[in-house]
Amino acid sequence: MTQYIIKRIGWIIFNLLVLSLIAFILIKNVPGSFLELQILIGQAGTMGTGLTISEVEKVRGVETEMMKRWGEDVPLWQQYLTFIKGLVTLDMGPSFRWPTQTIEEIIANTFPVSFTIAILAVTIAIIIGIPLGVLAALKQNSWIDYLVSALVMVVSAIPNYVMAVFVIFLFSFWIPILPTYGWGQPKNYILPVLAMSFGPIGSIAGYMRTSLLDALKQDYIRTAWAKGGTERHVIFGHAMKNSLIPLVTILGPMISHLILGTVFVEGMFGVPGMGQYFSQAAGSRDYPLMMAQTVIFGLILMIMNLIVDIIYFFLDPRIRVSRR
Amino acid sequence: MDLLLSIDNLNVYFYRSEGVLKAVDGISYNLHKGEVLGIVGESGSGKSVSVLSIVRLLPANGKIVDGSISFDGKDILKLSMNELQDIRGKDIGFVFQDPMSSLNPVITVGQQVMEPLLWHNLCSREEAYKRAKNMLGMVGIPFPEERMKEYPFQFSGGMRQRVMIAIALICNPKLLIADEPTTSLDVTTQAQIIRLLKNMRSELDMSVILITHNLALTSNFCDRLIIMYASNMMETGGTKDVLNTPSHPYTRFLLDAVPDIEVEKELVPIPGTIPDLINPPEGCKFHPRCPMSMDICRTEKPPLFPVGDGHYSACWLCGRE
Amino acid sequence: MRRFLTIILSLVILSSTFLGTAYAEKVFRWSGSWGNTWDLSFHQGFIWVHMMGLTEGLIKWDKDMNPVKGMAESYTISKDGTVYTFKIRKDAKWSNGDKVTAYDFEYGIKYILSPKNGRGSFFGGAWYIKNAKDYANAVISDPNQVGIKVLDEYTIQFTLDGPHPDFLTTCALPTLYPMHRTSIEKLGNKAFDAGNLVTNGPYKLVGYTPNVEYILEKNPYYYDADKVEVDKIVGKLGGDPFLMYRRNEVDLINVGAAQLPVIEKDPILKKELITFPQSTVNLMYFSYFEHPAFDDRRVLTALQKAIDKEKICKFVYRGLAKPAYSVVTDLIPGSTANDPEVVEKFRFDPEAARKLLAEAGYPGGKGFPTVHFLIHSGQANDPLILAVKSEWEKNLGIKVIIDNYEQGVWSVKRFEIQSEPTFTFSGASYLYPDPAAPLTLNYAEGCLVASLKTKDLVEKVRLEKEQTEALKAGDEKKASELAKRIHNIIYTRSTPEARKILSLVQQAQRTTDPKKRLELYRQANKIRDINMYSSFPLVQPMSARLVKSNFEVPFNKYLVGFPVGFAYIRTK
Ligand SMILES: Nc1ncnc2c1ncn2[C@@H]1O[C@H](COP(=O)(O)OP(=O)(O)OP(=O)(O)O)[C@@H](O)[C@H]1O
Ligand code: SF4
Ligand SMILES: [Mg+2]
Repeated sequence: MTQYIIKRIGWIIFNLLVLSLIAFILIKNVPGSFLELQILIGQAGTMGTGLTISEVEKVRGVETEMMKRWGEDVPLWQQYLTFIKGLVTLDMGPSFRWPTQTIEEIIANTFPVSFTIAILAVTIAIIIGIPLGVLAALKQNSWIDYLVSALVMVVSAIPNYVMAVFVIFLFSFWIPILPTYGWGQPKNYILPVLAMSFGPIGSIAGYMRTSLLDALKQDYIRTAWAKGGTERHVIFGHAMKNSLIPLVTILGPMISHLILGTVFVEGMFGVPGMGQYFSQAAGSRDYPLMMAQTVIFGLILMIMNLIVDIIYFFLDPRIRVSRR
Repeated sequence: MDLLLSIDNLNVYFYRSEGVLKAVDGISYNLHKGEVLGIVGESGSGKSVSVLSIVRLLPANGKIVDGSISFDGKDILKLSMNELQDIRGKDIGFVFQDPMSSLNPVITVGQQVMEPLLWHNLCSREEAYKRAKNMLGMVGIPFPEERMKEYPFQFSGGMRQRVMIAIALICNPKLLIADEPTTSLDVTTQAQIIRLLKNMRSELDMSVILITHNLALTSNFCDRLIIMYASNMMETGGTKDVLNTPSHPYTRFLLDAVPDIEVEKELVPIPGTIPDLINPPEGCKFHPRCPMSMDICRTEKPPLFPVGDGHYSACWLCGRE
Repeated sequence: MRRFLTIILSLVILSSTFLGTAYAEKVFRWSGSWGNTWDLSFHQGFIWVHMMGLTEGLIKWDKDMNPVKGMAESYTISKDGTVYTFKIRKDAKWSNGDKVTAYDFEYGIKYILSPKNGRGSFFGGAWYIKNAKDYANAVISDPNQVGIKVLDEYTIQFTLDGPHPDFLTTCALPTLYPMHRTSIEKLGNKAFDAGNLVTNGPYKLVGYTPNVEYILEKNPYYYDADKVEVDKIVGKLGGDPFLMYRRNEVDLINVGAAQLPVIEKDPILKKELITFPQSTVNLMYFSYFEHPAFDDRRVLTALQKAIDKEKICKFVYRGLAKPAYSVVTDLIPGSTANDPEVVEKFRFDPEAARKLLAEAGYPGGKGFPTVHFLIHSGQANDPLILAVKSEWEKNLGIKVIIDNYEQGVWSVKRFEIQSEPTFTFSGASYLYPDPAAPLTLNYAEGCLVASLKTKDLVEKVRLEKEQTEALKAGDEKKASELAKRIHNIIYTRSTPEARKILSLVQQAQRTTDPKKRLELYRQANKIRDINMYSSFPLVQPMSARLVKSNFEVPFNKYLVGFPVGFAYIRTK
């Protein structure tokens, strides 16, 4: 097992290198560079800021100064190596768009927030989604099942910003007990976590329902009934055990997605997470942040997959024993 | 001998989108304590459905619409769920057709064997462990203690079927129902399993219902046979009587398909196809394939005519004589 | 015992009265700002928060936006209007108690100008200081050549490159602010973090969570601290402002036309709504392309006369805008936005527009090239753009295609040469009420460029691209030759009107007599409004904000979306 994990980690590092190289090439090839945008803003922004014609040529001097400041005065391959070096030594320098913050600071400040929110949302989704799915599966084709299925459809189809407004209305207007905006107190977590958990509740409930229904159709369930098992024995002892294992596989991508894909919810509730930084990075061509974002995204995804595989390893004897 | 199981005019229907399928169409038989009953028939003839009814484990769309089942003096169809669960696994052990899928892949074999004891609160965990170990040894699993910690996928097909038998027998049931326990196994293993069942029956003194395609397997194990065709009982009687003096054309067909009874051999298909059970033929269900069919066969269903001592046949040919 | 009880009782009463009259902190919370650093050298949008309360220049704006003495206790201006000498008040203090000196101003302004530090989009008055531009653009590297001189600890002198009467008012803007040297040299970037940032204005920064909020608290060392009423300012940088306002989580928000119907229906909100004009014009600009139709003044007039701005203001903006006929709003002295001649020339008249277009050879829009609107994703739902499209299609029978690009791509694409006639949309704001604010020298020179025929403009852009390449390749000789050719195109092929504008602006910059100066700018404005076609003014939007009734917040027609200064907020 340890050997396996070491091998996987080796793969992750290799993949990250490939990923970052591809991302670097792509990012540098998108029209519009950070410097270009800065200079263009300088020329075309608020009236009364630009330069006279005889001065335009002089701006080139600024350009070199600025290129030096942002480390863009060296060839591309060297820029890439600098990035990798920064990544390894955890010293990636300042963000372009947030010039007084370094990339490491941004990530150190925002990752814990995004991570906590994502984990809380998934926890809530598990606590609510699994029983809902089980209930629907056990009462298949009853009104409860239809209700749950409809609910699953609705919450997975509605984007989380609509959910955000919905929970604001629910808990800030109709039952005015929570603030819509702000950060720092435990109660500030409630609404964003809630808004973000709806989608996952839907997918977990839906997934649970199908996988439990599937498990209940299996021959070994009939065996369990034939052995004289009660509902508790058969459904919770036998069927659930099998249907929960595949559920683990969807949790990994779900958590990675929630960690990074929460821009709107962050903005809506004032959550100082990673999402907003990252969503703004691309628009302003903040290369270091964009690169960091790509690597983090890849890293989170791959680590989550590794964790899922490890959990799977412990849950599913078929894999555990054959790997031994 | 005392009566253990009595089935009277059992009718089981499946409600399917195409219509109502009569999977069991008025079957009656008795089973005595210690007796071994063989049910033989082609695939789809209703063998499984008829025995699943005994423990009320029909698929959700199947329904017992008529008849009665009495087991050990209890009216099975009137029992509450709790009473039924009390019988399942304890008084009636079940061995299913496919050992590959009938065991839970993520639960240890030991746990699965112990469960019937634990679920019925028959003994403590330690005791259950000991009994499971012994039982696994009895059904021929070497090193049972180690293997109890393992999972089904670590067992071969034959071994798994032995585990299934251990599970069915762990509570010392009064009745063991083995639904084609050997179909998916290779020929040598089939014989071993049948030998095991035979040994276990004599050791534990129980009744057995053995369902099989294979007439050859019945000859030196079963006391009595029921031949089923298209949801109906075609012939029933002592094993020797049925095999030596078959009186129903369908039974004869089955026997012709097995040239030497002692040589274990799969059933050779009979010309023609099993009738569509949603729109079954009128009269004798076998008439489309029967070389001896007469006019009456096409219109009226033959009742079971006695043809010997406890030997009956549902064929107009027998009624005439 | 009784005595004892009485003492206890009186103590309780005393303490409760004390608690009851305990000072209640006055907090003002508002929404509608954004930002990414507190470092003044990145002087873009968010930096205006500095101006509203954190840092104060030699001059500040009073609540009606008149320049008044801030850190300066007195100043003198040389006769020729080029040398400004300020005396700094002795009681000026930084938020850590240090005194504010002339050296802080020198350090701050040079820090902002230095090409080694950040670079923002606006230089304002700093541009007027002698050699400041060259230093900022790394043409000269010696900061001592910049016209800033510390005469003594409390006296600073600026030498300008000409008489700029508006220099005084721009001293209130962030590019001429002092900075606290010791903390910056000691902490580097960390000096701009909340808690570390040392400021000299009425407030100090005590909290900042990017994308979430910032918190300012009263600076006890501020010389005018007694007059500052609000103890704490909270700026919320996200959320749904309208929801937050109705939940009573903020005291001030900016609203738009979309919220008006809801506000109108609510009697309380309706009372809290304040609308006021804003010195912004929404415009559409020509991009670079070659097409004779767009050199024809009849076509250009027709295009403008075909847009029903009244209707757009009424339905798109729900009254929160008025038609604009000049790129310089009537809030700027010398504007000719309301000049009857200007208005008449471009007033909506579909009949006349069609006639002009027909005269130019495109009757009913037949034969007219397809026009492209180059927009970015943020403009995708802008009803103004859709309205212009439909007006042109309906009234002139021409075809308009909207090309939507990602913001970064768009910012580059709009400066490229287009294969078909293309327009972009944006807004222009002027930060202070002086005729020179819009009519800068480079703007006047820009008029020369804007007056070029489309063919010449494209040629100029091509040459500029070549020049950049040459410079990159290090071919100085080729580059300067190209520069000459570009210069030549601009000065020989531009229209006489454009050259007239330039000479009027140059003249105005040398004029110290305020009346004469204003008249020169007015003339320049009018010539441009009547004869220049490179951009079409569309509407002048109004600001609308909701303010809780217990606050009185002076509004600012110039800094779009910001109050004028937190120190002027009064509670009721
Ligand atoms: N869940 C079900 N839904 C509908 N029809 C069913 C279902 N289960 C069984 N049947 C039908 O009932 C009939 C009898 O099935 P049964 O399983 O008893 O046959 P069998 O004799 O056991 O055959 P095999 O030898 O293949 O096991 C078949 O025609 C079958 O199609
Ligand atoms: S009843 Fe008729 S059809 Fe049926 S088996 Fe007998 S002879 Fe054949
Ligand atoms: Mg079967």
